[in-house]
Amino acid sequence: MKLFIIIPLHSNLILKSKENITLIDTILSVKLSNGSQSDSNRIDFFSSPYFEETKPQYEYIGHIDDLGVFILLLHFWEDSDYRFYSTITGKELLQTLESPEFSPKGDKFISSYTSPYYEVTDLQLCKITNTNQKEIRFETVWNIEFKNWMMVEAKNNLIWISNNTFILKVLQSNYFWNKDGDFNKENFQYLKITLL
Amino acid sequence: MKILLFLCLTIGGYACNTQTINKNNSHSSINKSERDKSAISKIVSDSTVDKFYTNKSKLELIDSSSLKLYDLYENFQDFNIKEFVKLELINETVYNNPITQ
Repeated sequence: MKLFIIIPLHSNLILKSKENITLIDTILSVKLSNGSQSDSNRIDFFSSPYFEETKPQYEYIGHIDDLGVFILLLHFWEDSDYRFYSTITGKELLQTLESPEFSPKGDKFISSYTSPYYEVTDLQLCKITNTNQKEIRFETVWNIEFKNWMMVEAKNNLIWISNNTFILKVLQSNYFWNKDGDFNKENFQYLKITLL
Repeated sequence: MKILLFLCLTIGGYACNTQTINKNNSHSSINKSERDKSAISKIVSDSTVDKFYTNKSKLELIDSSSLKLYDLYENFQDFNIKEFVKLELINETVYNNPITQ
């Protein structure tokens, strides 16, 4: 039987930085790395004290030093998304529904999101461009929403086996929920997805 | 006293009977679950992509309870997804026993 070779995930490089982050009450402050040592060389994110539809609560996810970005998780009322910011300018570069799972070479990633309300799974493919420039750029290549199968959880259920191929652990949508109201723990199936 | 004895026998008999029924039900459901699992396992292990492409017009998942067919590629967008990704069913063994570098 042919077995695949697992290559370490690039997303392991998302590291939490203690020295560049301060959180005081509802203010999350991230230090930028444009060479200046002044206090103004920071960007502040003001969280709402409550879950609201338009004003988020910010959660720090980590830095990817190789790409010069940091990632925040924004919590809204019954919604959330991940946002990528430049560590140089603090500018928002990209928005995804889930955390990124990078390909082995780190030049692209998949963000996969399962909606328990609509019972579908969204896949988002993003490519990294301008790697020779000072500031990184992300390009969303496609968003795909599938009908008949769903991932249970984004984390630990997506494995890259080459730079263009990954495997998902999925359930048929009809089997997503069990009788107890939890997601099903059986009848998993495995999809190999090759990017063309 | 006779009434008390009658009640004890009746309740005891009912309890034993209920226990037997539950046991049978659980035994039956385990068998069904195992049967379903083995059916899925067989389908997945037999259903290599090439075989599906050769014998079927499209890749299909088989619902083990209703035996309806599902299209892996079906999505809500109007572009042809087959131009962007290739989907294949693989065996669980491959997922759970990868060779690590």
